[in-house]
Amino acid sequence: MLFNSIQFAIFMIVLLLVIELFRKNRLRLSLLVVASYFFYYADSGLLFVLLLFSSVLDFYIGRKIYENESLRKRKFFLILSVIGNLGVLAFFKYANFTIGVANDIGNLFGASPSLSALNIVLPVGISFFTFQTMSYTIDIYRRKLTPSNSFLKYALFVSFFPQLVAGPIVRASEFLPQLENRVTIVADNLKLGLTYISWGLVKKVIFADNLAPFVDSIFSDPTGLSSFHIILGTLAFGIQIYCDFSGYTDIAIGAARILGFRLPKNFNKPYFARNPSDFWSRWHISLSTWLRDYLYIPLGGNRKGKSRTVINLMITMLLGGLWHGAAWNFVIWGAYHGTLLVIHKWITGRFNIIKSRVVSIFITQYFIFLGWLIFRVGNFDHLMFAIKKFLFLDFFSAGVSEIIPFLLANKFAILLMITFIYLHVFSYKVHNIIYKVNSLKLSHWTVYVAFVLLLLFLFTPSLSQAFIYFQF
Amino acid sequence: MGKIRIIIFLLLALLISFSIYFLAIKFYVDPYLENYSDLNRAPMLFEFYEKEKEADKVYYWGASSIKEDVDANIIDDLDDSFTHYNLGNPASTPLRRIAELEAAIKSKPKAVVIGLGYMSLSGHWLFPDDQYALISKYVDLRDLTVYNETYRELLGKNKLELLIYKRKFINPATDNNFELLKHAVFKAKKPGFYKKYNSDFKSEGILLQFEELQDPEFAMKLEAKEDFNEYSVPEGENSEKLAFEIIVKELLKNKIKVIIVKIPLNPGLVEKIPEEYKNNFDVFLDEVSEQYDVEVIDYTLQYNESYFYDGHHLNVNGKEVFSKELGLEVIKTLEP
Repeated sequence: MLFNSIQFAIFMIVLLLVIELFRKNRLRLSLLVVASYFFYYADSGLLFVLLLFSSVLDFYIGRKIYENESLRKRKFFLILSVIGNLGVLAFFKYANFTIGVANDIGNLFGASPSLSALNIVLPVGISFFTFQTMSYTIDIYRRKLTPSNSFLKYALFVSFFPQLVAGPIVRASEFLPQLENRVTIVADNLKLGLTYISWGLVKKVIFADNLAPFVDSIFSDPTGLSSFHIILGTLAFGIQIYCDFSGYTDIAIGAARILGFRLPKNFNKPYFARNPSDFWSRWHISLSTWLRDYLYIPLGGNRKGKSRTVINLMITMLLGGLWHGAAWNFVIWGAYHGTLLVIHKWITGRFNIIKSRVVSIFITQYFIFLGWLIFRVGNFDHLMFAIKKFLFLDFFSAGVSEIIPFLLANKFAILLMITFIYLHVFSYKVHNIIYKVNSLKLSHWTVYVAFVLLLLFLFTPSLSQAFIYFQF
Repeated sequence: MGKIRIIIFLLLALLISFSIYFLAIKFYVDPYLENYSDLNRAPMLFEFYEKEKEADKVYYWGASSIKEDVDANIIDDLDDSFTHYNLGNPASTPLRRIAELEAAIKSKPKAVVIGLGYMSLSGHWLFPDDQYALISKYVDLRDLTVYNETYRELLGKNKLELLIYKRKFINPATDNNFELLKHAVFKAKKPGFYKKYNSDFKSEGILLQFEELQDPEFAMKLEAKEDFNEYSVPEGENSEKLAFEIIVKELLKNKIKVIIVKIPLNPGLVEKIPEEYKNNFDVFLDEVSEQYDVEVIDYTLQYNESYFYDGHHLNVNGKEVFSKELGLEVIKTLEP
């Protein structure tokens, strides 16, 4: 059930009406759990059992860890939780990738093992809820969290539908305390939630979905294209993925807010990052902070010397890349970002060449967008070609006679890109734009909503695109 | 500020936006579809069937090759007994025609002349899906079990869904208006005014707007052409063949005479199409002809290249000659 579908609108309306009918909070919580499981079932069918498995496993293991004083036993239960969660994730997400790698290695040594791929369907959002449940047990192990005393509440934390399939990755410490309050739908939250949803829909439907065919047309086979096409395609993909993912997050935050829950911010104008480290504090914040807190710091972070810092950064980013998908381009993308972070760490303090904020943003974004090229182009030959064109500019290989018709043929996509850049700069200057829109008088807010709805009526592409991050 | 108030204002926003959208479709998209897009030919055909009550009439069905190649006025002049109508529709195939079969039968023609080329039966000829949506209001899905889910979804659109679907044409309508503006300001070439072309279902095709007798790029395109998949008529069954048989059967069942015409094709093109495809096409039509006792008139290689604008369409000279020859053959067949 896509957030940008009529089915989701109906689902939300019915859910809100039924919640209003129930007086007891326990019933309201139960209803949210049932609705969340239904939401997951609508996309993944019987694989909702995995969600249940993960919830049961970590709920009980969490208690065991908390109840045991012995460090050895606590560690044992933690390992059990990690193995259980990562085992499921590894099987569903990485089994076929591993088989492929084993075959390739075998072929390299002339063994031709030809292990056949398993018939596995990747459960939607598995990477998100696995990380969420793991953080629960790890936090209890670290004595930073007391386990939930209610399975119902814990099950809602794991399955809460707005953030279930594509994040943000919520920590139990942020979410469980909110369940102590009564689930209520209040006017302020309703208005703010609707503002968030409208904002997210514009990003997802108008920008991301309309740019998708343009991006596909460039990267389905980029060979033979000039630097001009490749850079424009990469820029379009950078906008597409940002609008797709942050649009999804806005809708998730909005839907949760209507129900009275606060989800953490996941994006903070990432294309204004001034260095790679700054980028990761602005892009998919809930994942980067998760990786920092549960991987990078436990590995030693920057506390064990320069070479260990480099190794820790590379491991974190490699695994971060692999988290996105079981494919080599994601591994390379992770390694690439690891390298950017290492270089940035090395440069910082040594040189202070770039003083201009604009210049530092441009240089950072050049490398970030090069990263998007790696992320987007799965075919290795195509990727090599595209990188060459991105790095060694040959604008003049495509003459004006070729560029002008290309721009005219794709004028809607170009217009969207220009509009996005304008809006991105605007929202950088005007902080908390969603809150500003929300604070409009109700009559003015109605005009805003009518305008957004009109845009959606007019410019929703006939083919709806799935959210890119659903596949992760 | 209560919840109810917000919901009321939200509904108000919905109403305002939908009203503006409705007006945009009504006054921006619909005029484009009606005047400047040949997609509109599909609903026009249904309106024609509903209106046309004349007793003795002959329909000419087929794709653009029929639409451009047949001058019904010429055929009318050859014969007083029947009125002839050119109901060719660009890229239409038997599968697409099934949707209008019932409406056509209800309008009681005396005969239907069906023009077919290799592409009509290959199953790889890309018929614009939008036409299915545009004719949805005329079609009853219960009668159309031949269609797959995609086509059923398009044909099954209700009025509201069709209104929403029409947003697809905002871009082409804008492009068209841009071209019209360029024409008005810079005297650039005017976009095709499709409403003018064969809206009386008689003669005037869009190719008439070209001044040349032959597409200057045709020879070059044919030389470069390597893929002939769109002509690949299979040996066995496919949905186009099935649809064609249904059409023949239903027309005959309703006492409507059927004449099959193998449409004229440019010999240069025919030469390059693999023999297997041509053979499968001929074998199938021979079988249909024999099974249903239907006449097949073969014009495939009747005319030399000078009569063609491109691969599938005759130029004005070819059209005149073909219309006369076809008309005479049809009249002869219809003689009691």
